[in-house]
Amino acid sequence: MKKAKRSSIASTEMKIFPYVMIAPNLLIFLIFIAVPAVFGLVYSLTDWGGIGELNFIGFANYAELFTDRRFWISMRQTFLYAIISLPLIMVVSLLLATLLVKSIHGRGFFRAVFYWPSMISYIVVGLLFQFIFGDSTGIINYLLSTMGLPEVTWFTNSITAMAVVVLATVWSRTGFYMVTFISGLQSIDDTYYEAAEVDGASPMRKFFSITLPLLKPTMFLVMILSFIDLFKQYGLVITMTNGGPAGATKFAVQYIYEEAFQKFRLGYASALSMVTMLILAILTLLQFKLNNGGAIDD
Amino acid sequence: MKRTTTSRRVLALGLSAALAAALLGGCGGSPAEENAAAENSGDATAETSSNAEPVEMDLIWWTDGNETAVMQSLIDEYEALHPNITINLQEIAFEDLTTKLQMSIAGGESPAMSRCVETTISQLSDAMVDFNDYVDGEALKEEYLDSVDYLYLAGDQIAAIPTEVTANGMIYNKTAFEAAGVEVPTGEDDIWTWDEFKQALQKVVDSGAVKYGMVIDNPSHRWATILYEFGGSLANEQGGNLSSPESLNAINYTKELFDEGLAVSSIWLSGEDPNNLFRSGEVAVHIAGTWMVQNYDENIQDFEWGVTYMPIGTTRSSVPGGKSITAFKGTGCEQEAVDFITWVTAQEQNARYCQECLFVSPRVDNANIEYPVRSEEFAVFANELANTTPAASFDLSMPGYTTIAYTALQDLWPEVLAGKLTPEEMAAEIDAQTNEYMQENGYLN
Repeated sequence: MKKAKRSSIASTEMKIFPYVMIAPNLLIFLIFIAVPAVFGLVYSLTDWGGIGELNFIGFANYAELFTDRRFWISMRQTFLYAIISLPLIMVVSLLLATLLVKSIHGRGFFRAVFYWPSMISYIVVGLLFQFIFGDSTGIINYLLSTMGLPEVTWFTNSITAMAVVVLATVWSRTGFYMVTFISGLQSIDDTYYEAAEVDGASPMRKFFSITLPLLKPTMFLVMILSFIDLFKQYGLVITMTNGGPAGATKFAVQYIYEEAFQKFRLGYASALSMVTMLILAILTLLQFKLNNGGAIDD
Repeated sequence: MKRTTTSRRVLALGLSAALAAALLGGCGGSPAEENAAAENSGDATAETSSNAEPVEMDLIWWTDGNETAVMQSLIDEYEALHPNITINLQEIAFEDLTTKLQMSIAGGESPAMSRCVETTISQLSDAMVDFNDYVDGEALKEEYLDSVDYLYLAGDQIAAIPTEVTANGMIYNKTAFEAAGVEVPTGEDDIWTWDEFKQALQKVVDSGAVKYGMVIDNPSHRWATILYEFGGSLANEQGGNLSSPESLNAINYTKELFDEGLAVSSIWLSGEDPNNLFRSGEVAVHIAGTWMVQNYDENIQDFEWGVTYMPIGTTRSSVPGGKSITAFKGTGCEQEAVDFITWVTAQEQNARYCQECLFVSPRVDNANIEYPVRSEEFAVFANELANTTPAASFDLSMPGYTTIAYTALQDLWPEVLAGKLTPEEMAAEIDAQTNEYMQENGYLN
């Protein structure tokens, strides 16, 4: 009888325990994400300028944003940036992970070297690349001019400006995802490779037939995390190009920031944030659906 | 026993809440009522402060040169006179000023005081104290030049007290001009026309003395100097005026400077720093203002520089600007903040501040400050300011308008330079915004 009672308590504890464990995270989520999101939704229905009373204007902000050409240009540039950067980040980090998961000399050193940039804030990365690529004050153009070569207008040409922003992004984020891939690679059972070895499979065949399929959950994770990260890009461009030239690297978050804190249209900026969040949520769900939630194919 | 524990908990919670409230407020210490008997001048509070509760206040600040050090020394002096007062000078980037203030105000955590510019006042005046409630407003206004009213007044409200006025003007690389054999205007009689200026600049660049012709800080306040000199303006009594032939001439002339490579486009297109570029010695001219004198005086060692007269269009003009200090409502230490501000902007303190920072004073009684260095350069800036066209005053006189117009110019000028927008399209778009503002605020019938 006593044993049965103890077992019942244990069972109740086991039911409650997971909720206790996620409670702190849930609390943080509620305080810093859910509650501000609700406030954002309320503000989006007002013409609030940052101080003073809230004046509700219904869905006027949402009606305005659908005709806001510059917002949709910034959204288009955000997509362009994410679509170019995402595959590059995934390919480069997977390549590095594949090389650095092997027992090679100086493996730890190289892992540290490639991981290091991911510890630097985007703001600093932006300043660093401005210092290197700056049109008039950059090192590269200085070196080109000392060699008598024509200078490159890195940040005043929309194509090269986007290219440098993508380069800086890939450089700064690859290390983080490389570590994620290394972890995924290490979790693949060696027996698969041994069996393939016995069957005489080439390294390429092993990579495409064993590594990639079994790495699908990790790749899915990297894809989702990276896409969200790219979609919210702000710090890097604000210090590197300030969104220029002429909005070529002005992404959605910078546009929203400017509406909120330069034009003091916090109500409108909240509506823009809501729409951006919705677009991001739909795209993430779509990726989830298309990738079957990252499950390994049978 | 249980009751005692509960009481202790309640007491602990209460004390924690009180401590948190004290820490989170814009200032800590005594409420304003304790000093209610004090007179409005700094000296009057000095008499009462020895018995007063400690008060700690934040002053939000940014710097273009050595203002932080000078203001800190004035604060130290004030704290010595008022042992109960502690002022924390919090330095932030100018770009973050309005955002930080707005967020603080919205969160109910306004700082006690802040340095500000005219746009800060037009945006946040509702949250600022009205100095009329603390001092004799009419007497205070008498102490300042009429031309700086827009710097600190929001309608009838005295929202701040000015500390310095600025004038836009032309700083040039003297070494480069001399090396190229190009003479700059030395008096009002031989001022360049804008075409002559362009030729002179081209000659300096062609000589190889510098790599770039000129840098203009931004396409808004600084560019407006060219706009006014061409006889244009952002607005007039009829509404938006950027589509007028005079304004379009100014836009087209500026665009030519960039198209011909004389002006550095990366400043406007991708946010490169014009100050660093001029300091590198690779640029012939920097269109900036008085606030750069101290900075360049201290930091440029490799070449000689000077200030010359802005070229003349249909008229001459500068664009006045300036800074002030304000106090915020709801901090619990408004009286103490006002006391400090009135003290630090009083004649003696302001003269010291302007002298050491190399600023022009907005006070009538500090009109003849003698500067330890660069008095020649200040004479040119003063002359520019004296020749400011009334069109500039009209634009600046509408509270909050320049924020709208300047933000639009900053957004749209890069599109014009990149060829995505014609000058006419930019002018029409900004005029539409101007008309909307003027209509809403009763400037148009």
